[in-house]
Amino acid sequence: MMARAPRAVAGSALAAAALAALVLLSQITWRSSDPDAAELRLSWRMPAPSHRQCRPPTEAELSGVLPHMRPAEVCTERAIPFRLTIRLNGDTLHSEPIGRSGRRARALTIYRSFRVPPGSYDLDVAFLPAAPPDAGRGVPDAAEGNPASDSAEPPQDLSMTLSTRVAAGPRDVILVSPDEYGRLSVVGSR
Amino acid sequence: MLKRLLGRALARLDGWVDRLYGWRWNPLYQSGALAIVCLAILLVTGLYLIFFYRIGAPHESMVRLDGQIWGGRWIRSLHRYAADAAVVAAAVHALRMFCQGRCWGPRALAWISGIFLLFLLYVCGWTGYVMVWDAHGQLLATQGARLLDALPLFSEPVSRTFAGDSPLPRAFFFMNLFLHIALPVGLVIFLWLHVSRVARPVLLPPRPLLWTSLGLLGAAAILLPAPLGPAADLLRIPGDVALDLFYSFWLPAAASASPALVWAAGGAAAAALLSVPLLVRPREARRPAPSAVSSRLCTACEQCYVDCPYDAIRMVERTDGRDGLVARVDPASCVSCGICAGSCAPMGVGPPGRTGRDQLARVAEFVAGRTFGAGDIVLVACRRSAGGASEAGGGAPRFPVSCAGNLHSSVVEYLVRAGARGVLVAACPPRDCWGREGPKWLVERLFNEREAELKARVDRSRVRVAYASFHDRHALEAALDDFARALAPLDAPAGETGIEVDTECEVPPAAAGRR
Repeated sequence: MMARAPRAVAGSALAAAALAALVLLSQITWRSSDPDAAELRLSWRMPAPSHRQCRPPTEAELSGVLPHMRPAEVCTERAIPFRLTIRLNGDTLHSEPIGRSGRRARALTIYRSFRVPPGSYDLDVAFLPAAPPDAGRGVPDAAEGNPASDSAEPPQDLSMTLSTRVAAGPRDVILVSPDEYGRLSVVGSR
Repeated sequence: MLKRLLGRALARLDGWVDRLYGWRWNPLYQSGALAIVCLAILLVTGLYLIFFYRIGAPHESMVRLDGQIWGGRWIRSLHRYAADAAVVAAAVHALRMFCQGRCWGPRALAWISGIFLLFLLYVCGWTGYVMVWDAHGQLLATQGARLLDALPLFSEPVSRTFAGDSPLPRAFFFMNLFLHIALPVGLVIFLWLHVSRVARPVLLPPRPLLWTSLGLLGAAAILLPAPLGPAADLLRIPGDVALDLFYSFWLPAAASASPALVWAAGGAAAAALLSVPLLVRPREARRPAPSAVSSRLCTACEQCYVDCPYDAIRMVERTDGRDGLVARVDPASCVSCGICAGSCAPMGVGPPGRTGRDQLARVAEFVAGRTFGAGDIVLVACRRSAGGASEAGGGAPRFPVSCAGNLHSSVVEYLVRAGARGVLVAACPPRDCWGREGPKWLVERLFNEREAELKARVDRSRVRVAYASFHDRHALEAALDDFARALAPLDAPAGETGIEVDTECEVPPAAAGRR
């Protein structure tokens, strides 16, 4: 059996060591990112671009519906696919088609981030329709109704582009986001 | 295999810590109660800190708080270190239960609710660090958002909240604060569930240990205050951060792994933890059978009902034609600890093969095979105590029992009357009894007239209880030496033959009145 005094010393030392371990492990320094990295971040939210086309209902369509439930017009809505392209110093960093997250999603959210080396860049960002609204739609079938009477709301122009020179230091974030006028601009960078 | 290895390592550690602090103050035995103490510190310090927190300027309010050395920084550091200590204590407690196999069957609810408690503690810690909104909080928030975005739950990426194109809304900090306050309510509910299947749950450690723990955490908070990182800046990638490994151990791996991999690893860990009760459950043939009551012998004294540490015994109306109540064991709640075997004066209850009558038969056999020498002390050894080790007790005759709490006082009487110079019962340290309250009830029965009490005709000076964990042989040897010295002046006992001990008891007046 260990004598009382050495036991007390050893016990105190163990308690102190346990406490020191608790404190040290509670504040371990961790390098969370490469110091030689910056980030290009794109972030915005906008109404989902779509093309809505309406026409009067046909007799056949009306006959199947109770009088008080007959619509004044029948509308179809198509999402307009967009493409996001990012170029750094003329080289394509990223290019992808952007669509709605769901069939009925009314908003379109862009959030992308890329690690890039610190430095200066010619940055080009293009957010443009992937194809014209009517491309590939063809001539409407006569049975669908009289094309002449169709009313199409012109799609809102949601295209955005940005061409600028940016500089980013280590651990800087270059944030590209629309400004208050809806134009893409660089929010954070040197 | 893992359980056995960890169990051996833990038993050795228990032995060392016992030698340093003694079994009374061994913090490893009090890990569950210490976790509760830490939660109480968190609650009290948290209630204080909340008055200084501003959701409109979280980091600034923390900086202001840190400027107050006594009323602010110290309390915040204590809050932080108590949170860390709570995780350590809870993890040690879980490890103990796992190694000792105390997590399946009727104990599965405690295990599962314990896992949920730990999970809630982690979420609480997460929200706490985000509240501070320094670089560490920013990392936790952005990594958390990244993980959430991998789930098909949100129509828009949560990460965009932290894009930096607009200031973080106050609503975010309000929600975070709300969670940080509301989740402890969940902790309380799960804590209640955690102890709901045990009788007389012990929620606090002995006072000296309680005050020492408080003092140590307080000293650490004063001498080494918790750091406050630079304010979060969403337009900067955090660099070096002071990581709290107890809460953010996963962050380095998660930051470089794909969210799917992190979810898969987290899910696998959660599944493994939650399935422990199934994994460690012995095969059906090896499972200890629950206690059974002999309704013929039961006198409805209610002692087993009172003593059962798991509330597994109920008193019900008799259905055998006799009037009054009879004890009934709920097999779904019984862990087969056998405490009831020691509590029944007529020896009518206990796990099969371990009732008082079974013990008496065994001790008669034990005595029949030997002649006690003049100095013989019989070591009645709980198999999980130091007495359970094969080399324990030197040459002392050893009568093994599955748990000291199972031991019926009649066995001790039998041994003393058979001529043993003394009977030393080697029990586990009381806060580490696998049956929960074995040593406590044993002492009450042997020395304090608790049913089934050691009869007055037995000389109490010839009976002793020693507490020693499995690897604390030194404590047992010291207890044996000390006991031998105490017995030396006593006359050598005259051994009786044809010993008859009471196996019937008077019906207590209360029970008799009900008949």
